Amino acid sequence: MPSRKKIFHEAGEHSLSFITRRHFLRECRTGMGMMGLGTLLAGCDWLGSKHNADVQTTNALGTDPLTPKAPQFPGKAKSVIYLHMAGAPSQLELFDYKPELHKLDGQDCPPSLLEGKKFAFIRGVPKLLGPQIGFKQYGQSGTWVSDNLPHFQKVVDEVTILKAVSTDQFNHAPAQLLMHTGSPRLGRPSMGSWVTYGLGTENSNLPGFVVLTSGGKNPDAGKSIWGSGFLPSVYQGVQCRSEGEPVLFLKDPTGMDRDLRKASIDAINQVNELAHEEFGDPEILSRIAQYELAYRMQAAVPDVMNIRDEPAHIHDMYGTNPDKPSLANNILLARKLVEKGVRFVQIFDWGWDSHGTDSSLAIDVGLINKCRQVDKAMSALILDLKQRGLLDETLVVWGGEFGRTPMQENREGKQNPFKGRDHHVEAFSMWMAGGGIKQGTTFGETDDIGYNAINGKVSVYDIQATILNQLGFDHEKFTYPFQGRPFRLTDVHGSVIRDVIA
Amino acid sequence: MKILLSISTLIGHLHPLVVHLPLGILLAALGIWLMSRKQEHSAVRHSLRWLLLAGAVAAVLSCISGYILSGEGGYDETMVSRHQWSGIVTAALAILFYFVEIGKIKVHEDHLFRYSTATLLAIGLFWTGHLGGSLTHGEGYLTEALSGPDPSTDDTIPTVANVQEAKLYSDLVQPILQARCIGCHGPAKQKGGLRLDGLDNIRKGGKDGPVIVDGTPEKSELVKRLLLPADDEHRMPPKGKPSLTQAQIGLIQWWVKLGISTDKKVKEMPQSDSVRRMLAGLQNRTAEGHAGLLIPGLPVAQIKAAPDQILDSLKTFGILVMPVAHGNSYLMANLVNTNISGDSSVMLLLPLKEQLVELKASGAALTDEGCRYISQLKKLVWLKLDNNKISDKGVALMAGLDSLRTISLTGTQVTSNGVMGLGKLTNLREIFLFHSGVQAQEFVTLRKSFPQARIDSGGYTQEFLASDTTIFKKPIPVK
Repeated sequence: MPSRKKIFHEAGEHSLSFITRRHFLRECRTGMGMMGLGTLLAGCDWLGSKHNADVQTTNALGTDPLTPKAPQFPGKAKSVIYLHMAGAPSQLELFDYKPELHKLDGQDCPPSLLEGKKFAFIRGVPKLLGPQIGFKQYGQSGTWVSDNLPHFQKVVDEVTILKAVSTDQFNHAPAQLLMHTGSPRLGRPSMGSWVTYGLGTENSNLPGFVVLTSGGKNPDAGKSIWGSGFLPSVYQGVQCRSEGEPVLFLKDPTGMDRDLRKASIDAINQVNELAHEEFGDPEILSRIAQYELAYRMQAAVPDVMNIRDEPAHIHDMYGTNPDKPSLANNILLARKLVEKGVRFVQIFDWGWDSHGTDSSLAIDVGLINKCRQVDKAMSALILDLKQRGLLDETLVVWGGEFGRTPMQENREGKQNPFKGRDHHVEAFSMWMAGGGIKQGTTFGETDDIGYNAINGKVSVYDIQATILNQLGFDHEKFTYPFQGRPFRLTDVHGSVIRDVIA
Repeated sequence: MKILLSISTLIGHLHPLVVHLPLGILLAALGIWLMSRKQEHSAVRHSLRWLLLAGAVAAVLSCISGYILSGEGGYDETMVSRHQWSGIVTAALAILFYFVEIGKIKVHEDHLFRYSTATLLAIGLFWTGHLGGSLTHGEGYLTEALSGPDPSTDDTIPTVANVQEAKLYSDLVQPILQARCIGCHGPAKQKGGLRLDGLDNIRKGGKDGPVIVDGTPEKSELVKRLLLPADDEHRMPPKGKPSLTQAQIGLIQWWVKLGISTDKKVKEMPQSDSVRRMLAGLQNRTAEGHAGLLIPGLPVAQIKAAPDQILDSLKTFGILVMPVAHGNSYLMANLVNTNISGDSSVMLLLPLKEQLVELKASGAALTDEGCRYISQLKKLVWLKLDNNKISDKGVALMAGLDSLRTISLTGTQVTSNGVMGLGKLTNLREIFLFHSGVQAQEFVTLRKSFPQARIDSGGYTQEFLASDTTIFKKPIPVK
C-alpha cells in the first residue's frame, strides 16, 4: 500500500476511535425509535393491510378471521393432508432403488463425495451401504417400490414420487422448520397457518388447521412447526390428542351447563370487544374467535374425532385399532377431518431417524417396523379418499425433513452396532397424490448411488410453492405485512413444480 | 487493429445510452425557444444556441454510434434503415436550426421557415425514438399498452390430445419454439444472429456457428443453453421470460438426438422408459401456468356477479357461498354448516343459478325433493350429493345438467337405473357410486354406457398381511 493511502487509512481509523458507545446511542435515538414505532404500528395492522390486496384481511370487528375466503385463482385442492415422517425416512430403502450401490456395498466412500461436505455424525471416510431391502416395479407406471411397503406398491399409479428433493439443513429441528415454515429459524408461520389465513375454514365448528402426532414424541422442532409465527395466533395449528379427550379443556366443568358456559363466553367476549375498540390489536380478535370456536367445537369435535363409529371394513382397510393410539388411527382421523371441511391436517410421526445406534433405529430392523406402521394406513388413505370422491379435492403429501446418506454411518469414526445411515440433504424422496397432482409418475432422478440429484432437482421451497399453487395461491403474491415488509412462505425462493401437475 | 475494433464495438454499444442525450437536450431547446418568445422570458434566449449546439453534436454522435451498432446485425433490416434515416434527418434539422439561431442563415424571427424547422425537428425526435423503441422492445410495444397484447404473439403452447399420434417436429417441437423462442430468434429479431423459425434457419445457427449437432444433444448449444441453471446469464429463455418445463426440454433433447429433420409420428420412433415418461408429461398438461389448475370444465365466460344481499342472507342460514377465486363471479357453495334442511338450502340457492358451478351438499339431509331445485342449477360442473336420502327419482331430475363433469352419489340409494338416466350428459367425466344402490355386477354395463367417464365403484380393500401386525426383531441378510 502506498504511504499516502496508509495515512488516509490511519486517519480514518483514528477518527473512528472517537466514536464511543454514547455517540452511537445518541445517533441511533431517532432511528431506533422510529423502527420501534414502525413495528408497533405494523403490529396493529395499521399500515399493513394495503399491501395485501390479494387476500382479504379481516381486522374489522365482528368478522371472524376464520371466515372462508376465496383463493387467488381457482385451486384444484381444497384441503391438504401432510404426512411428515419425523426423523427422515431412508429413501434408499423405500423409493430410490440403487442396484449400483448394492455392488459397492462395504467399499470406502470416494473422497470426491466427502470434500467440503458436512455431515451430522459421519467423520472420516465412511463405507458405502447398499440397499438393505429388495425392490420391484409396480403398477402400469412401473414405479420402483421396496418390499418394505407391500400395500403402497398397489397404489403407486395414484401418486407422483419426487426423487430429487433437496434441502440445506442437516439437523432435524432446523430442517423441519424449513420444511414447514420456509425458514430454518424460529418465528415464521407454518404452512398450515398460511393456508388457513388465506382460505379460512370451511366448517365453522372445526379448526381450519389440525395437528396429530404419533410415535411417542413430538417432532424435534417442537410446536413452532405448527405455530402461526407473525400471523394472528388464531391461525396456529390445533393439536388434537390421540388418547382420551382429543382437545383438552373442551368439556364443560362439573356443575356448569352449556348455557352458563355460553353466557360466560359471551360476557368475556364483550369485554374483549371493548378492549379491541380501545387498542385495535388483532390478537384480541384472535382471542374472541378462539373462545367462540372452542364453544362450537365442544359439540362437533368429540363426534368427528371418534373413529369408533367407522365400519369394520374401514378399520380393516387402514389397519386401525381405536383402542390403541397409532399413526394409522391419525391417518384415518385425517380423512374424517378433511371430509368435514378441515383445510389442513398435519400429521407427524416420530421414529424414522435410522442411524443404526440401536435396533429400533436400524435400517434393517426399526425402519421396517416404522414402514409397517405407515404402509397400510397411507395406502388406505389414498384408496378411501378416492372412493369417497375426495381425492380430487384433497392433496396428500408424504415426506421427511431430509434423506439419508448412501454411506453407512460411522459415529465419531467408529462402526455403529446396527446398519444405519446419516442425515443427507442433497437428494431425498417425497410423494404427493390427489389435489390435481399427476398420477403414476416419478419426477427427478439421482445418480447411481443416490447421492446427488442429476435431474428434476427441487427444493423445499418448490414443494411449498406447489402445495400453495394447488390450493389456488401464487406463492409470490400470497403475502402478509410484518415489520414493514410483506412476507411470504417461500421467502424469496421457490418455483412451482409444473411437471408434476396434471 | 483488434483494439480499434473493440473500441468501435464499445461505441456501438453505447448507442442506447447516447440516444437519450439529443432527445432530452433538443426537446429542452425547443421548449426554451417557445418560452423565450414571451417578453418576460426573453432572457433565456441566450442559452438556446448552446443547447442547440450540444443537441446537434449529441445527435451526430448518436447517428455514428447507431450506425456502428447496426453493423452487428440481429435486427429487422427495414426497421433499422427507417430508424437510421429518420435519425440522420433529425440530426440535420438540429444543425440547421442551430445555424438559423446563431444567424449564419438569415431568417426573420417570425418566418415560417423557423417554425417548420422546429416542428419537423420535434416530429423527427419522436418518430426516431419510437422506431428505436420498436427495435429493442419489439414491434407493437407501444400499441400493446392500449390494445392489449397482440394475439399473434400468444405464448401459450397448444395442448396435444394424443402425443403418440403427433408429429415430432411440426406438432410438438415447433409450437414450443414458436411460443418460447421466436420472439427473440425469429423474423422480427435475430439475437445472436439466430433464427429458430423453420428447420433451415435452425440448421444455419447463429453468428457463433451451428446450434445443433444432430444426434448429440450434449454438444448442441441450443440444448446446453436450456439446461443451464436459472441464474446463469447464458441460459435460455433468459431471466424474466417463461421457462420450458422439464418435459419440454426432454422433448427437445430427444428431437436433437433423433436428428432434427425427423418429423415422423412419435409412435414410429423408438422410445426408452425415460422418453415415455417425458412424453406422458407433455400429454397430461392441460394448459400452461395457472390455466392448468382451473377446475376442469369451469366456464370462462364473463358473467354478472351475484348481488351481495343474496350472499349475505344465505350466510344467516349457515350456507357457505363464495367465489371460486378472487375477482371471479362464479360461485361455489357448501352446505356443511347449514342450519336448515338440505332441501330448503338448495331452494335458497336458486337465485344464484347463473353463477353456481360447484355444490357440496355432503350429508346435508337432502331428499329427492331438493333434487328438483338442483336440476335448475344448470351451470353446475361439480356436484357432491353423497350421504343423502336420494333415490333414482331424484337423480332422474338431474338429467338436464349439461355442464356437469363430476357427480358424487356415494352413500345414496341410487341404483344403476338411476345412473343410466344421466347418459345424455356428455360432459360427465367422474361418477362416484361407493355405498350406493348399484350392485357390484352392474358396474360392467354401467362403464360401457359411460365410455368417457370414470365410474368409481369404491369398496376398495387391502389384504391382511402377517407383516402388518408383527414386530420385526432381527435383521435378515438381503440377497
